[in-house]
Amino acid sequence: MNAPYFDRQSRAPRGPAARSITSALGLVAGAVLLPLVLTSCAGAGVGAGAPASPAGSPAGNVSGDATLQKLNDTAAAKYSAYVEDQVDQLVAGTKAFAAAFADGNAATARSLYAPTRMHWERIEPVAEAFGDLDPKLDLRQADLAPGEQWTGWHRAEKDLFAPAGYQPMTTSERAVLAKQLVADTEDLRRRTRTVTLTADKLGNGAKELLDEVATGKVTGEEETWSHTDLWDFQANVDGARTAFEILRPALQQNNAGLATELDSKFAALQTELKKHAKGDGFAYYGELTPVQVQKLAALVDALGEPLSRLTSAVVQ
Amino acid sequence: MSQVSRRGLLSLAGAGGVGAAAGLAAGFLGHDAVAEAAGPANDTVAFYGDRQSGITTPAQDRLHMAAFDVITEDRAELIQLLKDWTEAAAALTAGRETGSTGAVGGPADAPPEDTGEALGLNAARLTLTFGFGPTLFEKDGTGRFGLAGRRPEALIDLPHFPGDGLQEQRTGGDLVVQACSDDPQVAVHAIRNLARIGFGKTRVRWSQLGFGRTSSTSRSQQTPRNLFGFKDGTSNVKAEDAGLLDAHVWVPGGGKATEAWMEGGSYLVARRIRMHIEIWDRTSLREQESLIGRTKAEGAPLSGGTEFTAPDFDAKGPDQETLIARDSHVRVAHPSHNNGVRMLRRGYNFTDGSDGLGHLDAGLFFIAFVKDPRTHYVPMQLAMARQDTLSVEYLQHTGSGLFAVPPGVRPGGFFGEGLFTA
Repeated sequence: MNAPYFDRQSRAPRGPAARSITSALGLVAGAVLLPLVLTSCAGAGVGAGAPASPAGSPAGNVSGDATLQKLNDTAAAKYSAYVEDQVDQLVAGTKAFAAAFADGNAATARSLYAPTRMHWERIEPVAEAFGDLDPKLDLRQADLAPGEQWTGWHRAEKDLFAPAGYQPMTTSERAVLAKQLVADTEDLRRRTRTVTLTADKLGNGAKELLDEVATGKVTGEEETWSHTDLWDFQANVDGARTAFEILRPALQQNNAGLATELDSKFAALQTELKKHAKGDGFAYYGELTPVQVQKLAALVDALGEPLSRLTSAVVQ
Repeated sequence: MSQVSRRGLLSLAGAGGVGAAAGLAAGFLGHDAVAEAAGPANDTVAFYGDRQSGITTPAQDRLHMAAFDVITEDRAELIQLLKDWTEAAAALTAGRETGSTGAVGGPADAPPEDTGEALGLNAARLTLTFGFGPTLFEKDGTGRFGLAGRRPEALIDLPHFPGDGLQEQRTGGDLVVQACSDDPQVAVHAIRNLARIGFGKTRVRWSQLGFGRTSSTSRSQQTPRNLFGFKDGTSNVKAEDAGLLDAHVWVPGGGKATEAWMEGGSYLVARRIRMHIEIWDRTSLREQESLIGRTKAEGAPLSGGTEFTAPDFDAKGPDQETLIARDSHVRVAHPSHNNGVRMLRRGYNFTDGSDGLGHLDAGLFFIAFVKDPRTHYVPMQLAMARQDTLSVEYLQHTGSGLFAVPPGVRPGGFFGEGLFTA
């Protein structure tokens, strides 16, 4: 049941979320095999025997250096474990959110909305690799094509953080949406269990997470009604930084200078973002002044340039 | 840096040879540098020299100017940036790709160093001119980069002029880069790549495209027209006027020791001037000519003669009124009414889309190079803002910047090096 999801060329991108599926953290499908249970302990089965890269993409993870290969295989296994952990938390959180939403317990649902989505945003490129799931779960209203059905997080967001003149969903509409949200998220969990990551996918995924910040979060476009963009911002940075940290042994060997630079740029961005922390979460996007947004954007660019060189540095 | 020309010409030896050719083309010998600049051999302007290029260089047709905020406070990082920019500028102005691997020569897993949109294009007389804004030296009363004592006195905070409608996001900046070229793609490519090199150290504060020059800086050039439809810059200081350049444009030696680094440099005044062109277009020809003080067709002063005839501000018509109105632009701006000061103007026409009210957001991006803005810009602008009916009724300044433009670069040096040494 996995094969179709990796026939990327045949899937027409729809909307910004779907647009990046081609490159995503880019999972080489577990076309092979399945219950490859990945745990945090070591590279059980990852790497070496993994299927070839998707057609048309030059194999990035080839290196004559056995040490480097080993470091990269270990990294891939570790990140797989990270993905697994985040997806598990996402499923649990989504169930709680969906229950509150379906029950009409709006206050609880609102409080669960942003923190739960963070698990999604940390591994977004992985999820985006499943071209059909990403739009089902994360499409914004502005991304909809005429006649397209709108499901997922942002549909619930609009109902929970309703704009003036909005016609609320009925109880049954909410129940249907909640059920679908849970089902799609469980589908996501099932499918992520069958993917194989490689070091170049980690590097590219880290870059893409920061691209997401630059084009959707620091602009305040992602969370149109809830304005919880900084939660997503933090989660994207978390995911990128985790990939970087996991790739660090290989990077240290190949380009220690880049590792140092990334350390300092991640730290600078994190320091600035932390200034907007509030309680368990963050300030709403609308509370930021233009100067504060500019500062964040400059730090995202400052990190984005060296981060774009991570992949080639670890697969060289 | 990449040694390969974007058009595939090896320029290892070309750096000197091309420079020499460009020196001829832009050699201020009074012949037509524009016509000469047609072929690949002389499409470059010399990069190294006593003065920065892009000032007396015959004005190219297109502009992309960008001002940057420096977001690091680390002096070493700033110096490294200026070195990196200098190296990239040397490559770009020679028509070469940036970085050691250029646009397509790097590893497939890495983003290309050069952004690539200028592949196949020649340098199109690209010049890159760099300057330092007041806020590079100090901000909110605090010195930066150890430069607090080095800010030249002439690098003032421009005063508010009557009628100014300056927008914060179009005003100021710690650094400025003026990219001029006969090909807009080449100019934009240059700014884009410099901005990219700057990420982490700088952020773009504002940037402005200009689609057509409004000044001649050489007698070899025709006087172009601004968006009012009039010839502009007829009495501009030209590259051939060595005496005028020394008197009005170049910063002389012999000043304070802390400002010695500016000797041979200049000050760049940038003003984004929105023109109410729709209102202007409803104005009669007689009124338009009267406001300017020149004829629309030829650009001759209303006191008679041809374009380059000196205006006679005392000449009167049959009605005993002066032929050139007292509140006309040519009179208010004329050196004889401004303590004899001149400026080298190098502005560009712009349109930045529309204003949402059915009008073009268009005007003149004014650029002038002067030896001291306190004597050579501020008094004239104050007079124009008060007395020049054209300025009062048809213009609004929406952006502004003043920058100290250091002298030119020697091979192995970098822009503004003197500011960071001695």
